[in-house]
Amino acid sequence: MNGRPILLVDDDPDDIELTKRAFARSRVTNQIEVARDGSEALDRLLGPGAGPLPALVLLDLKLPRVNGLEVLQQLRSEERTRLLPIVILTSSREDRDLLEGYRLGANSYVRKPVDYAAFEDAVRQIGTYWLELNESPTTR
Amino acid sequence: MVAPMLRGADATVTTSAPAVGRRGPWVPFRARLMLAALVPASILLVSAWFVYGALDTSIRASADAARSADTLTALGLLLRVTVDQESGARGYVISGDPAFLEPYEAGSARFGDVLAGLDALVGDDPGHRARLDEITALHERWQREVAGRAIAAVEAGDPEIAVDIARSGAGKMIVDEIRRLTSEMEAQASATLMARRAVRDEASLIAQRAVVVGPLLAAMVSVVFGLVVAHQVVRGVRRVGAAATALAAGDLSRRAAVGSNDEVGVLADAFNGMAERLEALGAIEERTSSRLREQAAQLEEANSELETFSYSVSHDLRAPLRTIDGFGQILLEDHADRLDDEGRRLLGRVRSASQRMGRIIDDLHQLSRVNRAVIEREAVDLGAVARGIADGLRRADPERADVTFVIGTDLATRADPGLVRIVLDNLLTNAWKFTALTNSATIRLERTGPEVFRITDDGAGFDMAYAAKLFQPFQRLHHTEDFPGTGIGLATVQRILQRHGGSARAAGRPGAGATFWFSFDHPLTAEEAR
Repeated sequence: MNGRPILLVDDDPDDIELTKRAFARSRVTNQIEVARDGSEALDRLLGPGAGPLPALVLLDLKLPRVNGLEVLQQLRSEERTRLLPIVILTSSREDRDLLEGYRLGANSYVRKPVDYAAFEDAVRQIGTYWLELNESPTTR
Repeated sequence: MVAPMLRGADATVTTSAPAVGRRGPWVPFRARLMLAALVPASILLVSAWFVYGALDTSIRASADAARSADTLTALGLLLRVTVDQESGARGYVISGDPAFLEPYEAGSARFGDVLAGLDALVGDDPGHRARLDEITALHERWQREVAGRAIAAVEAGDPEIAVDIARSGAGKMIVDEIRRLTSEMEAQASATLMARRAVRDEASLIAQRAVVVGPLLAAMVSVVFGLVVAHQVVRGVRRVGAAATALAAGDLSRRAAVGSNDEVGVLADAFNGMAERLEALGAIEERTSSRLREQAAQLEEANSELETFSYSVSHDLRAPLRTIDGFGQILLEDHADRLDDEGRRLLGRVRSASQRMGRIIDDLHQLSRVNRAVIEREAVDLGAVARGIADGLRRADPERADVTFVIGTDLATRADPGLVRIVLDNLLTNAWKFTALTNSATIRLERTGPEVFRITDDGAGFDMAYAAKLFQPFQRLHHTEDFPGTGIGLATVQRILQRHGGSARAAGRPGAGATFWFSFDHPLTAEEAR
């Protein structure tokens, strides 16, 4: 699992920095790639120049141009990314985002805490679970 | 009498259908029915009068005819009596036998009687009178000059005188004259009899006809009148009925077109007045209803704007907070050596402020969701929910093992399960918080009445002087350093209870704990919260 990158889809530079730092402090060594909005994410995963599939996608919901749920829907409708582990990582605690996220096929839904210590802890747990404990389906 | 036309009470309302008023003189059905009764009755009376008249004539004519018949009989009798006298006299004259005198004597006497009878019967008729007088005179003459003389002669022993008298023919002449007169009288009486019989027959015929025609005519007129009046009533009533049915089916502009100035016309006018009123009310209702729809649409719009706003707020406010807190933490961790104690302290305050703001945002978001939520009542066991919350509180703070939860067993009610959870979470967490400085605290949840529950703790309590502020947002009765909190929890609790149709009340004493009564069913009365 260490060979593959983690794709972080988020438009907030502060959140990006905090997340990267949190991963670093939890000793996750996978390379962190960033997509700043929905269309960048889709290009990275499905576009003509798409690289190797990441081990995990952390998907924020409020993104410019193409939002998180639309990205999710697209990814799940393509054979290449149908089984890709996607964790929704968002500030929203709206029920409808939660339900819609699962309905469209997200693997997990995590709320970003405001408290940084809790945030670090959440990221660490995500890393540990999805990269080490969880078994992902092997895809190309 | 012309009855006034009825109009709707609201004279300023104009309707599209023309008002149907009453025309012509006031002719109530009572009058028509009376007429319908009077005409046949009159016909019957008139025909009865005819019949009576005819019968009267017939009876009189009958009686008169009977008199004429009697006259004829009497005249016949007169003749016979005359003949009897004649033959008696002749017989005596011829035979000399006094036995023949008897019919003569008897006849004489009889003659007078019969004459008297005839006199009574027809004496008032001049024609008859004259003849009767003559017959009387003739008879007297005969008796005197003929019969009497002859008989006297025979009695005297001179029968030849009697024969001479007989041969002279004087007697025969007189008797012939009497006969002739009697015949004339008979002819007259006969004619009278026939005439009277004719009158009688004619009158009878009239009576017969009148007795049939009169009642028949009366019956026909009665039936025709009855049908006409009934038809008029039914037609009028049917029109009103049809209009009422159409109105009831929804056509508020329908009116009853009955223009007759009678009781049905009055009914129709009353109906039309009512219909106008209904139409006016219907128009008002329509206006009100469309205004309400407009307002509902506006409210809907405002609500959906609020929802969008609420969603954005909860999402967009958190991210910068996280930045403040996160970079603050990084500062502390990575650049601790560049900060002195004061710097670290200040940074700590920045971080705790941002965390506090995060909690406020979360609570406000929850409050707005509570306002928007659709309440779905189900059977809920408050005890089960409370035990779950209590377990969670214990797990989060294991060092507070000395706290005892006393949770009742009959705590079933009907409410929205998600919102119930928020209420109990807030109240129990409060109790947990405010017993933090109390040793061996006890927190109770129990039922105190039908649909009334109570949570009590023996913690810090509060001053009842500020009880009114307890449920208002952001109003806190304690200092944040002593007991942390956002001041929104109880506002949320109250909102949830209100939306269920219930309410909450609180009481407390500083240092002696607090009690919160609540109901999901009805607003609490003062007795229930004691």
